[in-house]
Amino acid sequence: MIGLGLRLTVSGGREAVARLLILTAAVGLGVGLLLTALSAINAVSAQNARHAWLWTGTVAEPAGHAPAGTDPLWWSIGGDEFAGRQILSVNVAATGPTSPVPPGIPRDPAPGQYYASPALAALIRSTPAGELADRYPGRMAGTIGNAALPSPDSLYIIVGHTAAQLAHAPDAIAVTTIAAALPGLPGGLNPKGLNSSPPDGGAGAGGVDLIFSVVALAMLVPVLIFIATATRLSAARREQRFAALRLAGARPRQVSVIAAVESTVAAVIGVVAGFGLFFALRIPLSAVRFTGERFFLSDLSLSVRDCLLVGIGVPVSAAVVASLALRRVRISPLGVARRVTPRPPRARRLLPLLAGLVYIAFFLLHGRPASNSGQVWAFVPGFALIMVGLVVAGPWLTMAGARIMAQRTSGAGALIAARRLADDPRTAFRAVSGLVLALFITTVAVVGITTQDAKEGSPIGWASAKNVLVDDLAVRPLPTFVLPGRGQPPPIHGGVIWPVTTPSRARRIAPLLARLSGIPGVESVIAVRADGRLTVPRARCWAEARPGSPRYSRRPAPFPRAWSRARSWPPFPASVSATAPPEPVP
Amino acid sequence: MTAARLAPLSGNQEIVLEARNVVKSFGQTPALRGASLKVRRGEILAVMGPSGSGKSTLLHCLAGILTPDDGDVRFDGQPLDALSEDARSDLRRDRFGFVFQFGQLVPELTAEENVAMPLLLSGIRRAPALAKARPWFGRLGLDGLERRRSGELSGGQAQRVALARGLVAQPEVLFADEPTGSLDSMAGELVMTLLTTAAREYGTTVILVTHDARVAAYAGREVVVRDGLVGSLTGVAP
Repeated sequence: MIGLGLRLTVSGGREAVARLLILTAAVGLGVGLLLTALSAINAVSAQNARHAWLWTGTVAEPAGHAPAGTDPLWWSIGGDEFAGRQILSVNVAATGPTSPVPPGIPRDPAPGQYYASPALAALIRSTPAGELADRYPGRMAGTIGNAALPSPDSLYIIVGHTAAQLAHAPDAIAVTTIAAALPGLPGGLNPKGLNSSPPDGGAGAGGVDLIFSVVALAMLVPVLIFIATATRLSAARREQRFAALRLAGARPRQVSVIAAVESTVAAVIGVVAGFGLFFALRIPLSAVRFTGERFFLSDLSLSVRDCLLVGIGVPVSAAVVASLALRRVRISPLGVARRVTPRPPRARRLLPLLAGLVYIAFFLLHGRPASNSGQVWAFVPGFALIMVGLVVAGPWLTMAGARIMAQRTSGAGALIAARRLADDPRTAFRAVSGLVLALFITTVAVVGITTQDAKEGSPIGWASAKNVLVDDLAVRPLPTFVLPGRGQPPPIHGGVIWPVTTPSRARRIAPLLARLSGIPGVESVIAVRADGRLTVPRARCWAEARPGSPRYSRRPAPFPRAWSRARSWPPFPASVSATAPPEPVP
Repeated sequence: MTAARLAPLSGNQEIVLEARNVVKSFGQTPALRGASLKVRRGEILAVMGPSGSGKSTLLHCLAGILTPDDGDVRFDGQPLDALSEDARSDLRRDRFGFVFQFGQLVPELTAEENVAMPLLLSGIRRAPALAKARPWFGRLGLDGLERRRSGELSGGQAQRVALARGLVAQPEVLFADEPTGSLDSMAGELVMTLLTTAAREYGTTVILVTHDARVAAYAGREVVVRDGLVGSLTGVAP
C-alpha cells in the first residue's frame, strides 16, 4: 500500500503535484515557525543563564562551596548609564592567585585594569574620553567574552581594584565562588549575601519564556489545521479516487495508509523546507529584541530533542490529521454520501470558549500567580481552552452571522452565499479555522511580546520609566525600588528628587544623592520610595525584602491602581520640577 | 422477451444472493420499502425500474456497500450485515466485481494498473498482478491501451477497462449499475456483449441495473423495482 500511495502521490498529474506543493508549503511554513519559536525559547534561556554570574555575592545566590584554600575575591556590582543605555560595572579585587575569575575573561583584572564588553569597548573608543572613558580609571586589558554577555549589545565592564579599596566600599563583599545559576525560588539562599540585585539580573525573561511557550504550543494547532485544510484540497477528486479503491475492495485501513503516505511525503519535504526556513529566519530573528536585547546567533539553536520532536512529530501528526480529515471517505465505497442538510450546530458549542474567557478573566481580576511557572500553569490552559473554544464555537458563530446576513441582505449573490454558509457552517468554518487560530495566536504573541518589551529595563513597567537610572549603589539601608512621594522636588542638575516619605530617610540619602550627582555624565538623580505594596519583578522583591521578613511575599501585591492610570511620567529630567508627580499611593 | 428470460426462479437452483424485506431510507426519503429478491448462481439478472425507484440502492445493498435499515441480505446463506467492514471489503475484492456508470477508475493510475487493482489490494505483487491483468486487454479489444490513463481513454474504452477490472479476480458475482449509461449505442452494445460473454465463460453471476430495455435484453431474467419494492415482469414473485 505504501508503494501504491507513493505512486498516487508523485504521478497524479498537475493537480496532484499542486496539492503536494501546497501541502508541503503549509507544513514547511508551520515547521519553520515552530522551530523559530523553539529556538527563541532556547535563546531566552541561554541569554538568561548568562546573567547568572552577576548574582554573585547576593542573598539570592544559593550558598556555594568553594574549594579549600580559595583566595577570596572582593566583589561589588553597580550600574551606570550613558546616552540612555545601561552600563553594568563589576568591581573586583583579587586577594591571591586562586581568587575566582568571572566568566569571559582570562584572569581577574589587576588594579588599574579593566575588561570591557565589545560593545562597551567600541563605545569607549568612539566617545570623547571625558564623557565615558574617564569614568573607568586605568587601561583596557581586553574584552569580555560572550560567555559573560547576555547579548552582543551588553555594556559590561569588569574593573580591577586593590583589595584595600574595595574592602571599605559599601556593598562590596568577599566571595569565593562565582554564581553559575540564576536564583531559584526562595530556600537555600545565602543569608550572608548582599541584600541587593544586579542592575541587569535578567529578570523578566521568564515572562518571555511564557509567551514563547504559549506560541510554540499554539503554533502546532494552525500547522495541523493547515495540513488538514490542504489535505482536503481537491477533496471531490480524491474522494472519487478513494471511493474507487474501496469499491475495488480496499479496506478502510488500506485507504488510510494511502492517504497517510501522501500527507507524510508532503510533511517530510515540508519539514526539510521548514528547517531551511528556520535557518533563513535565524539571522534576522537574532536582531529582534524580544527580551530588550539582541540574541547571539549561536543562542538561536535547537537541541537534538527539538529536532527529533519536530522532524518526527510533524510528519506523524500530518499522517494522523490527514487520516482524520479523510475518515468520511474511507467508510463509503460510493464516495460522497447522498447530500442531506446537516443539523445546525447547537449554541452549547460556545461553552468551551466562554469557559476559557472566564478562566483567563479570573486570573486577571483576582491576580496572577507570582512565579513564572505558576503563570505558565495559569495561563497556558486558559489560552488552550480559548483556542479549542474558537474551533468548537466557530461553526455556530458562522451560522449565526450568516443568518443575520441572509435576513438583511438585498443582493442575490450575498443571499445565496449566506444561505449556503448557514446551511453547512461546519464545512465553511473548517476552511478558515486555521486562519482564525493563527490570527488569535499572532495577536496574543504580539501583545505579549510588546508588553514584555516595554517592561524590559523598566523596574516598574512604564515605558517612560526607561529614562530613569535605577541603582542601588551603596544604598544598603534603602531598597532598590521606589516611587515618588509627595512634596516639592528640589532640583538637582536640572532633574528632580521626589522627597522620600520620611524625613529621616531623606536625611540618610542626602549625601548619597550629592555623591551620585557629582559623577561625570549624571544629569539628574531620582530617588524612589520603597513600597511593599508594589508589584515589581520577583528578583527585585527578594532584594528588597529577605524571605522571612515581614515585608516579604512570594506574590507581589498589585500595583496601585492610581499609578497604573498614570500613562507616562513627566518628562525627565528637564521640566519635571514644575510638574506634579503622579498620584501616589493613598 | 423470451420465455426463458421471464422464467421465475425454480426451487432446485442454488441461491447465491438473497434479499429479504430490505428497507433502506436516506434521511426522510425511503428508497426500499421491503424489497425481496433471490439470485441464482450463474444467472444474468436485469434489475429495471424508473429513475428513483430504488434499483441502485437495492444493488448496493446486495453488494454489501449499503447496510439495510431493516431486513437482511445473504450471500451464500451468510448475512452480509453480520460481516465486519474489513470482511465486506474482502468480499468485494475477492468474490464480487463492479462495473458502474462513472468514477470507478483511479485517474492517477494506468489502465493496466487499474485492472490489476483488486489483485494488488489482495497482496499480489506488482509484476504478477500486471501479468494477470494484461490478457484482459486483448480479450476486451483494448490492445495497446495498457499504459494509458483513464483521461486518455474514450468512454467505451474506460468502461471496458472497468469491466476488465471487475472480472480480473474472477468474481462469483458481478454488479453492473447502468454500465452503458454514459455510452453511445454502439459502444454500449460492445460492452454488454463482452460483459455477458465473459460472465458466461466464467460462470459469473451478473446483477445488471438498467432502465434501458435493450441492455436488459442481454439478461436471462428481469425484475422491476417500483416504489422500493421488487416485482417480476410476469407478476410472479422474484
